[in-house]
Amino acid sequence: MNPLVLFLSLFLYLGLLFLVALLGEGRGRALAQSPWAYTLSLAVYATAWTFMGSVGRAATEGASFLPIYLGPTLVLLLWPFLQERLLSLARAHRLTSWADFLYLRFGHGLLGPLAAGFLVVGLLPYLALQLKAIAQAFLFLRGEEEPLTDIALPTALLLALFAILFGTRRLDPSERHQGLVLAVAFESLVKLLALLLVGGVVLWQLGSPFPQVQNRPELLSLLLPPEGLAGYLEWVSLVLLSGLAFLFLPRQFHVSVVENTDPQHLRLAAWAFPLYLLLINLPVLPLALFGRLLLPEGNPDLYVLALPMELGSAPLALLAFLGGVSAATAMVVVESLALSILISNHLLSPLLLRFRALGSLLLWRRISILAVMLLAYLYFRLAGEAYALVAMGLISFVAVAQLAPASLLGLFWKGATPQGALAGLLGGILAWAYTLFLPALARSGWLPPFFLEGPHPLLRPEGLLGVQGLDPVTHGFLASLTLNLALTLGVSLFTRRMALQEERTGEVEELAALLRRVLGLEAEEAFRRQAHTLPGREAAGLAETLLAGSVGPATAKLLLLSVTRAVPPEALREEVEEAARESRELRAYAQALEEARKELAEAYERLKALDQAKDELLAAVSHELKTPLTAVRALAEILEANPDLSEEERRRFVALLAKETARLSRLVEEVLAYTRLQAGVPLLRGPTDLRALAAEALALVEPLARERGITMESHLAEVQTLTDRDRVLQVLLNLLHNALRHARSRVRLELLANREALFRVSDDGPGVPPQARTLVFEPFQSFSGSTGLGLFLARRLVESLGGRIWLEEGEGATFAFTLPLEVEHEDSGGGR
Amino acid sequence: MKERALALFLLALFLFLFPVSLVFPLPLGPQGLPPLYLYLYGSWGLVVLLAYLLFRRP
Repeated sequence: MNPLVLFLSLFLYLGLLFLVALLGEGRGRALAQSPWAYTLSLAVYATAWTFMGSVGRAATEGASFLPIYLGPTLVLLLWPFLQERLLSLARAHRLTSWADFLYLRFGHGLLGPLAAGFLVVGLLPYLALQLKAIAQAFLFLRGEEEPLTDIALPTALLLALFAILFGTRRLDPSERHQGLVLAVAFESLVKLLALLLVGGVVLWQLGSPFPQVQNRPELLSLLLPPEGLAGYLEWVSLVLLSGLAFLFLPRQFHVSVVENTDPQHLRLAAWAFPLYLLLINLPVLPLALFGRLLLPEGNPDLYVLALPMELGSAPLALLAFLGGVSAATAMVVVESLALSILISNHLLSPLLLRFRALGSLLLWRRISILAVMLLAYLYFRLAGEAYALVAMGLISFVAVAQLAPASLLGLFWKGATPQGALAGLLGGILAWAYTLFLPALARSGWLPPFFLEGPHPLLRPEGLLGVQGLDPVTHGFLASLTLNLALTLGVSLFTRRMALQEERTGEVEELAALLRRVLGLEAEEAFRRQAHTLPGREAAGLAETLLAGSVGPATAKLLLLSVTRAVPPEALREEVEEAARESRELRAYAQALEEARKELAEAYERLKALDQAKDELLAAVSHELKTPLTAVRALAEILEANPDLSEEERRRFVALLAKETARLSRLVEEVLAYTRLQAGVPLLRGPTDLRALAAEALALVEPLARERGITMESHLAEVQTLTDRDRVLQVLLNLLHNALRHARSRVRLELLANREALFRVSDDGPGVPPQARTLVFEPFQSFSGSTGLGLFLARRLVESLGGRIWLEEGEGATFAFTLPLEVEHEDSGGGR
Repeated sequence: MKERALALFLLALFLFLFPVSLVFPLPLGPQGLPPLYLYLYGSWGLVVLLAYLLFRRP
């Protein structure tokens, strides 16, 4: 095929991928967040290994290509137990990988860096596999075989650029990357359609391969189940291994957990993703058989490309090439991004913090993507050509499976300890390296061949304890996972759980300032919005979560140390809380005492004032009584001493005597009324017709008015209320008598009703002198020779009835008072 | 729902890990098709169908 066409197709396809990613960041955001995009993005699991390597494995080993897809199907059926729990944990703690989870669960400082470093090393063969697939396919279509590395390097650099552009725009990797998700979903669709189309065309043109296989006995074994115990063990191991890989591969964690926008998307993924895997595997066996039948000398990993070429269909071969490129690029981009986050969170951030260079973390994350790609390319150059695609992928699968014991036990078993997790992980890593990684290097010529024999027959890397007949991957997987699980369980059972990491507490202001320094203004504002009502401990937890999402959990904890303090341990905390509670109670008690003291002091002052008022009242009353009494006594003495007074003179003195006695009597009545009021005689409220009451008062004062030649006027509205009629009558009589005493020719009584009843008594007398206006309602303040108690009593009576009284401005004197309008509720219960 | 999901998982585990060599000793069946693959794809399809019926509604 023309290399120019190939190059152009490759770059056009990658350009299209950029456009799709841009669409996901813009108008296609809703599409990228749909459950279908989520499900298709999970298909990043199906890599170039699936697209080309599965056909290669089916062509050489038969049905053993299928367990790689049965494992994920099983794991997805368990989503209500596994993924849902993981999603809620990840959301609460902004987890970006299983290494974050291990650090969060066990709090051991070594677990995160160990897991991160190991995953980078363990996944390099897998990344190298993708580069190899693209390079192999490209050279095959060009009709050349060497050198493979020519196209692998530019491809690696281009994919690194893609991952940097769409995966590291922000510092916070727990933020979603819609563009990336849409691009991955698009690629999943492309590779599925491409493989189905290739398989369909081949079957359509060549018919069923099975009748032809009957004549080729060497191919019949491909259609048989795995033989014997070793074959069955291999089958079971591959199902288990692929299930664990689906759960623990960093790219799977990234697309299924970090990029998840709604946990309900798992419902669709649980059946649609296994369906996807089923569909993509349908053409594998026919393609493998036709490859073996038609191209016995060809490379099985390239049958997907070679068969269309054999049929003379170059466009179909180009489509198959682009399908393979799709499968490889999606994996490389997401995996390198996930690995760069691992590196940045667990290896780089602590270092940068030590050198006070945390501000350049985003740059380092981009550099680490590039470094991962270059390391993968280096691995491909060093060891890649020694293995078939599937063998390389399986070495990586076994590597990621080493996280399973500590993670799954940590997720479901409280007894798992940090020491157990660390021992298991270390043991698993060592066993993986000894049984799989180093033998791969030995087979590539980078280690001496005798390494494969081991120092002792029982320590042979691919046959520990003398085990024979097992496939190296199955052997390595079983050996490393068994050792890992045994150490995790055993050490956990014999070690004690470390005390929980100390909780921290801090001030919101200081935490917000730290977030601004490390993550910027936007993060600070987000923190302030959520933290302003939180207590110190929860605010510190929130700040730690936000920091952990961006710089990793270990660095977040270190950063928080400077602005927080430890919350006391449980026992001490109880004592502190008890002391704080007692202190609060003491403070409340002291406050109550202070208030009581104030009230007592005020009461004492009131009592003193009342006592003084009583003395003043007694003095005033005595003084007021003394004047009429003196007059009565003097008049009586005059009458007694002068029996010969004229009749006219005698009548004048008797009239004066009667007047003074009447005044004396009125004074005594008012003083009695005042003392009754002071004694707090209860009100006798009842339904009262105020109009009738006012008319009654007018009738009572009418004789006096007539005697004095004063006209009584009235304007009385119809008003009903609930009040003490005798007290109201007394007030009215007081005011009317007062008005009659000062009026020249006219007294007017008005009764109005609005929100309350308003009485107004006015006269056309001289009015109240300005200097006396403020004193008219005070006791014994007489300006006209009266007792000086009438208006004072009126005010007290009105106030006791819930009203108020005042002197209005204007001609003459106008006194007004109000009464609340109340109605009697006969049925307060509201029933009928 | 969790109980049914677990039951489906156990069924799938049995179907996928069943020692098929005991049942399908021959490479090709009467129709000229490989019974091993018919069984594997068939049981896989059945599991997908049951998962669809179980998880399709919230």
